[in-house]
Amino acid sequence: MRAPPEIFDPGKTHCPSCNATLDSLVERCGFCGFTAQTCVQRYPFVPPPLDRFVDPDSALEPGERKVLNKALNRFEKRFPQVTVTVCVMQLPEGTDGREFGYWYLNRSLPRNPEERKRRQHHMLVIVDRSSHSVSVTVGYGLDCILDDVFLPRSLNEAEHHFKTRGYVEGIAQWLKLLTRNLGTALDEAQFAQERWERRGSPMLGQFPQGEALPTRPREIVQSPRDTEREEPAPKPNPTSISGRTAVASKR
Amino acid sequence: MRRPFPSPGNILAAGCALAFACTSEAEVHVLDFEKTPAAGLLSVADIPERSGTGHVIDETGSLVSELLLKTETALRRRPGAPTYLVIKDGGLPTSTDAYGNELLRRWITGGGRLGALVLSVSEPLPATHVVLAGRDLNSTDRQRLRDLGAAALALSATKGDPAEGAAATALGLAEALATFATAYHDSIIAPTPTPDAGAAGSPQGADAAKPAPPGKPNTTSHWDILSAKLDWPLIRAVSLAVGGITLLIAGMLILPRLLGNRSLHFPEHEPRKRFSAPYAGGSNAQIRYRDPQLAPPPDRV
Repeated sequence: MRAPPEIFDPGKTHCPSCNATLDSLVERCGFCGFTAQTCVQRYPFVPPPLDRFVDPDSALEPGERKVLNKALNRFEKRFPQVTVTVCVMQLPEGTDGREFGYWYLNRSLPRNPEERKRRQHHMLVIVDRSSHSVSVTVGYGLDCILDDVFLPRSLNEAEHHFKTRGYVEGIAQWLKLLTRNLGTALDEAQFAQERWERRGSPMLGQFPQGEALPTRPREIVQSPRDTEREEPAPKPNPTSISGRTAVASKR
Repeated sequence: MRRPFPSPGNILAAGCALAFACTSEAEVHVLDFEKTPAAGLLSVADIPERSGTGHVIDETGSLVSELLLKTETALRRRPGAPTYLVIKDGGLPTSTDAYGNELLRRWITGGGRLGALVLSVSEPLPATHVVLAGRDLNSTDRQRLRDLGAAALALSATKGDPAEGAAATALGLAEALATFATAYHDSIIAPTPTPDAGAAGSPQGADAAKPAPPGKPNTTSHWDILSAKLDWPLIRAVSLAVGGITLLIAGMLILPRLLGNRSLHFPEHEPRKRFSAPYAGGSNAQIRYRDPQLAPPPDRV
């Protein structure tokens, strides 16, 4: 039985591109017009698989990799559902790491059913060495807790490490603080879920519990090469956003 | 007429009398074999050599042969409650209790329910001690044995020579102890083997009577003395208390860490799907970092 995300009191959503606050679950940003299509058009290539480290420039020293490995191991041991990828690269000028992370997390194809199953609990950390920024994007399975409010707050808690010791120590410290803070948040979430299950019918009418999730999530866009590896999936329907209201405001 | 205030001389005399009385009473020692250490556990040296099954050992040679023979014969008649007479040349190497316990443990063979030892020493002052031993003695029995020993000691006062006095004490004590053993036959438990006395199944006294192994000296270590003097029940209780407190503190320290390391799971919920994205809807955050090896980054973020 899956609970509706509302019971966990997630924060408002934001546009991955312009970062505008959205009041509802839209498919087009009313502020900048961002859609999945525009995102795919902006990055017209197939990203590499989401391994633990994606470091095309070999920017990570062995010692730094060891520090990150240790922190990631500890985090993934504490939260067995979560898989973390640290991607260190130099993004082109003007590229926002959050938008890139959103695209990367959705566009990178899972290599096997197990990876596909875990993808919704994936956490992607993009280190842009050009703009000296660290961006974090999480999957649907985590955003009921790690929403657009919780995530920035947790990153800000580790700001001192990011500013004084660089991104490696900053990420390690952030994961440590996140581990500590998530314990309380997850306890509250569990309590909320139990309370929701006890309530029963009123919420059941509002959020049908029997509705099964799609067993295979859709890709944003399937390239012919991807279609060979994956089963055919329907392309996103541009008309699906019609009738939805996107109320945007600058954060 | 006004009663005179006791003079210092009177007080001193009364004190000496009291001290003498106390000293005299302290010469009778009653041991309970259930509570005293087994033979060989205490570091008792200078064990007098017995000639066969002899009951009289005269290291000083002060007893005349007739009296020695008479005493020996009389003491041998009481195998159920043996009484021994030891006239030592010099003092005792250890306390009277420990020394008497050691000798009686060694000499009382199986079947002996009671035992007594008359110990005459010449150092530091000539004195005669009476050591009585039994098993599972209650307070009444102990008191009766103490009275019995005191009465026997009184016999030595009639003799001028300490050795003769000790012999008279031993003879009187043997008679009285035999009567006592008969009267309290049912109330006194026969000797039973103890684990620390030797092999299981054999009487304590029989084990003690065996000669020491060839390689083993006739004395024991200082640790044995210490262990015999330690209050093991108290030590056990203190150890349990300290162990319990330590475990409690360790639990208080370790339990939160164990709970802190438990696996946590995100709740299963319907995905907040948006932008037609299959895996992530764009929940994100960003922060700038500063490379410690490089110059401050431009404000591009």
